[in-house]
Amino acid sequence: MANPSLVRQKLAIFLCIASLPPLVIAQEYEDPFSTESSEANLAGELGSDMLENSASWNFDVSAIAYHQQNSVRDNQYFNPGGLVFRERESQLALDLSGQFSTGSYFSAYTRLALVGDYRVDESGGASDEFSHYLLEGYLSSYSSNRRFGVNVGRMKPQWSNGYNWSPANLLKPVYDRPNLDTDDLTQQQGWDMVHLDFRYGDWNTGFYFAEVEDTLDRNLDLPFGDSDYQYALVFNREGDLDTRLVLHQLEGGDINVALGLSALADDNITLRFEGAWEHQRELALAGDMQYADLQDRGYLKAVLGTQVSLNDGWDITAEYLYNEHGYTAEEWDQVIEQIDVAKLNLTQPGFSLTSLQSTEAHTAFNFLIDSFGLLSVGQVRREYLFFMWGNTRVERKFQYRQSIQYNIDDQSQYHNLEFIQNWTEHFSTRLQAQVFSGCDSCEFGLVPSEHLLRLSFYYDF
Amino acid sequence: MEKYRFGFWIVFLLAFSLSSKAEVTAEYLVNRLDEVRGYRDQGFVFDITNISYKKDKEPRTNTLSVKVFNDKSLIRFESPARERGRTMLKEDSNMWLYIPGTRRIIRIAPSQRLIGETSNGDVVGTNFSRDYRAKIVGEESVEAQEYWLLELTSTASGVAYTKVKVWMAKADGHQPLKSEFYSRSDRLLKTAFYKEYKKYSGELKVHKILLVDALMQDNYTWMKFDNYQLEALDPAIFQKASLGRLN
Repeated sequence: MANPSLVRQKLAIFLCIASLPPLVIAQEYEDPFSTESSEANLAGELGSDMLENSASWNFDVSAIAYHQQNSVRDNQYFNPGGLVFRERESQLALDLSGQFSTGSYFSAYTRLALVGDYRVDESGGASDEFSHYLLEGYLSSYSSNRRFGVNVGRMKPQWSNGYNWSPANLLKPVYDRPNLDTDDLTQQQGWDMVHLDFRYGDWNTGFYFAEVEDTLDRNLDLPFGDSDYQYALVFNREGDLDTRLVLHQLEGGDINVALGLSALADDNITLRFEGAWEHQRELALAGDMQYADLQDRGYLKAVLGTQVSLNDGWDITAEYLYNEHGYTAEEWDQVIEQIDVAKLNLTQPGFSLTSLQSTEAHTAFNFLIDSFGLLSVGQVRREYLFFMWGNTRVERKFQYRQSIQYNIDDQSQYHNLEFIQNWTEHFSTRLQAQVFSGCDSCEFGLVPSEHLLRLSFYYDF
Repeated sequence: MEKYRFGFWIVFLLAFSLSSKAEVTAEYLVNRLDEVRGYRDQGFVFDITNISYKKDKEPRTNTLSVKVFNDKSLIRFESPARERGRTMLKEDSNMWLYIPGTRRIIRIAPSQRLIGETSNGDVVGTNFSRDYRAKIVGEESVEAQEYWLLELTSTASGVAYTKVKVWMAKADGHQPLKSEFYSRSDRLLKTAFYKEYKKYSGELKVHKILLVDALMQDNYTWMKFDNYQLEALDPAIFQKASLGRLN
């Protein structure tokens, strides 16, 4: 029989040991900062850019290179027959950003992209192109308390809080599809403008006077093409319920309105809503064949989204888009019907793609080309779902991101899968696969590539 | 006579010890806890270096520069190079992250981790005196040193931890030795060991913290806080519109 006092002693020793681990463990972790060199490193890395009211500067250079292989569809429904699509593409780009500041009174910002492209189409034809873009470049001056400021130059303001869709970004023209091509630096090109900035407490008001210019020459025949200037007044309140109201007007046009809200639903859940009410229909009108009458009451585009963060660094993002700019089922049927008529016209005797001899054939060809252009705008239908999960938020060696965009109207889908490997502090690679599936006349079934594979290399200097 | 004198001293010492104990209140200790992480209601800046360790994985290092004014913080990522320029704005439980590549600003949740094994709350610190109710729940002796055991219970929504236990020295300075952070379900999530203190402009601040995951003790982060400086910071710089700007 065990001695009760011995049992008590053993129990006491056990409890003592059990209560010790946190303190004992602390002794086992070697202090990586114990050498003086790490102190010196930190001082060197941080530089001077956080010092208030003194000259400071910052310069960042990133290099992006990728090679992409597309699997082109045999028959693209909108293709009149003469269009050839990219089968391979290689790109080398430099993203250069610079900031200089002498305190609040004067700052200068610039962002430049140098892009070299090499493309091979499905017929074997190759082309290369080198372009440079001034994405942003502006001068900034603020009062000493930063309550009032003026910015002049090319800027890209972001008014949207959505991830996949950005209805509140009302400035025109807009080409913003971050989830489709993250390597496309031209998406970051801003507008030439004057911006007045007023801040008070949690409030912020901005007035924007900007040019309407398709600086990327995307040839989008959009309804705002006649306007030279646009204006916007943005009210922003930050807090538990983030609120943003955007009033936007194209020169001579009616006022468009956007409202953005975001809030914290729980310690690990965020919610957002964003809605825009515009008088101009976003989709291009194809050639002379206007198959969609404008609505007098305008067009609503709204996003409802949430992000849930899991403990192990994974995030789940979901968004729903309602888009009145997109075609209804009846309108889309009409588009497809006219596509069929146009294709029939193109098969008439005497027609060739190089000499459009009849007016009908010419119109039909333009219609098909313009309809094809619609796809680049995205969101050609009314309702969509977006779902994404990944662990890219936390800095780690291997990162994964997967997303699906689902067109509720025609059930076509766009899948995106990314594997990111951060090899060193400066060098990363990303392997991306995209799959566009759906019927021949469905939105993602119309994308010329059935699937694609891209390997990207990134170096941050 | 000798007996009375002895009695007097006993009473005097007892009264003295009781009065000195009475001075150390839970409120005093929680204020002291905030003071070792900053300058309370004055604007200040400091730098953080985090080195995160995970079993069988290479350590990851981040450096951040931080501006703080009252309940607002601006945290700029300085390294690694691929994350340079990312900036986080925190106001109470509201947090926003600016991504320089796309110029986007997204709202993030307080419990989200952006850096290694540390939560956003760990990085920018928490205003314990404002967001928690403090209570002295005991005393403990650790390695021949005496400590108050302080228990903090959250009174604000959106804080990263529901309950925090802090061991604070009874000796002058009342420096914290370690903290335990608990979830809503009262599960121990991580333990912070205050490993080193350093004087900045005559004030003692925490210099190094070791943060250990309670479930996987091979997951831990060393945090070094440095270059504390008082600075006149205007509230207007703690707005989303300021993210991405130098100052």
